Amino acid sequence: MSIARSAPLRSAISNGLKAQQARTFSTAKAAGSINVAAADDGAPTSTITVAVKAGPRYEAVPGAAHVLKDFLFKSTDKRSALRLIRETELNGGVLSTSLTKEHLLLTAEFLRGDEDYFVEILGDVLSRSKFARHEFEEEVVPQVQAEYGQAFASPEIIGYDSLLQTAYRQRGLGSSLFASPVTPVSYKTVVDYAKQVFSKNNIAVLGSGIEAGKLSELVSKNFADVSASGSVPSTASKYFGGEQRVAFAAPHGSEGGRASFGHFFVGYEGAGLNDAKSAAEFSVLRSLLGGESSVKWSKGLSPLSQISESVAGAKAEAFNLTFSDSGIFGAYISAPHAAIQEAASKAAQAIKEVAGGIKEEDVQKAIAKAKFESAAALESRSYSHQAAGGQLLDGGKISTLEESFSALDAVKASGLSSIAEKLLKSKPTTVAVGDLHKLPYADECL
Amino acid sequence: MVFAGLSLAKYIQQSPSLLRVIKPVANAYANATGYRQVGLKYDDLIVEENPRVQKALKRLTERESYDRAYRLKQASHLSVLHRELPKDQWTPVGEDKRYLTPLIDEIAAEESERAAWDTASVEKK
Repeated sequence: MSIARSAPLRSAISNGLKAQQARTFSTAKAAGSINVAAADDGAPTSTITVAVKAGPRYEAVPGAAHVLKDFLFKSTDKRSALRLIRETELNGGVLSTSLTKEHLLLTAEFLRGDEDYFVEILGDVLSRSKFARHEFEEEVVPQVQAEYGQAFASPEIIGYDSLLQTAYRQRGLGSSLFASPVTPVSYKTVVDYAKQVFSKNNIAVLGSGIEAGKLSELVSKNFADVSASGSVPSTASKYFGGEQRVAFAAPHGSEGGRASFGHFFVGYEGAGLNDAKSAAEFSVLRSLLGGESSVKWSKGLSPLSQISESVAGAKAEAFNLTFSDSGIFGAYISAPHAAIQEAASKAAQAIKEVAGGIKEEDVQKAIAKAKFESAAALESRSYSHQAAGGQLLDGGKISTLEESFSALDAVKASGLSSIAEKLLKSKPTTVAVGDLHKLPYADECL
Repeated sequence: MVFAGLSLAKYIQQSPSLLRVIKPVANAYANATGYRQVGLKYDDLIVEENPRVQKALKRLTERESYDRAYRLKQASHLSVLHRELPKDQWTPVGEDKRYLTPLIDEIAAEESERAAWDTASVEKK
């Protein structure tokens, strides 16, 4: 019986290993020094992402990156925007753009076999976009405004955006992800920014569900006209810290929900991805502090999830925001306005207690959770492309899951304590979002 | 022009000899219609009460639409006064450019492209 049972198990394991091998990216350079990486996982769909070093971090004018994000996949010299959409629909594909603090991602998802068409589209967008003025005014500007309005109806988005703006002082990583109506972006600014960032040494092409050889061949063919070299100004990130308070009233229709609560963010200087050891320690520390529940009928045992037990209606979760050369680690607390001060104080206390003493047993739990989180995140193509694109553009090498696992396994309780102590020595960044008359100040909670 | 029915302009412009004969007649006709004498351009006369032209007007640059509004206002004022501008202020032939027609043609092309895609039939290869 044991033999009969173990045979399918063995084959499942070996299949799993095969699939895992196919999921690691193999890198190549396409003609013209474009970084290309592909992982053929054998799925019936393919996803190709062009990652461009063109996030708000590199923009010279506030909001240029957000407006550029909405100005892509419009008319090119070869196709009108309408034709592009209709042809993509006929092929059953999806074209999308997304923006992170550092990178602009252009993604095409489609059925395996249509790669010729979609790589051509991606190449055209980079080198032959018309950037018609009327498309800017008729489509792009209203879309940017709608996205701004939607984003700023959420206290969580406002909070994280303000947190980074405060921590890095509105420059570099502190630039907002959203184009604000306070600083309108002109047509010329966007077109200039596009010309500046779309160059062969500033992009990386990632593919899933496509052979590396095929992808780099298509990229060489279709990206030939992308300008050879451009440059984005890059200065090292500097963490400042500070306090920010944002008045916010829940939008009509969400008065009863969490949006009407008080929201409090506290962050400290963490580590960037360039410091792999500290980055791994911070991701374990994040799992250790936790805040989210692993099972349905319990609020969880982690220090931050205990807060929702003791303060009615409160919710606290740890976050670890990492960028290429800096990071922010902290906690996000939301609670009814009357209880927010108590909840925020308890969360700040929990972070301090972790620095005081960590049990080896808790560390092992947290490492297991951090490993699961990193593996689960890499399951999604959009996240794995985003991460791999960033690594290609910033460092030039894509780390595998095994490498991140071994980095996490190497984390020790003593290392966590010392990094938590170092964390608490940095100047805190706090953001309060909600009714400012009821929200506490930083020195009342920390 | 889009709304003037048949136009032979394209064919005449292709043939230099024909253009040489027709152009003085055309200029004389344009002068006789009197719009240059009140400071207007030819494209100011296009009927604007339809969606396509409205959309084209929105695509003018800020400067162009300001100038257009000024010309129209000046012309209607002169019309009320039953006067013409002094001769040195008439629209010069060189400035009587088609600033709106290319935009209207572009929008017409967009509309017909949309209609073509809406009725496209797909063949499986």
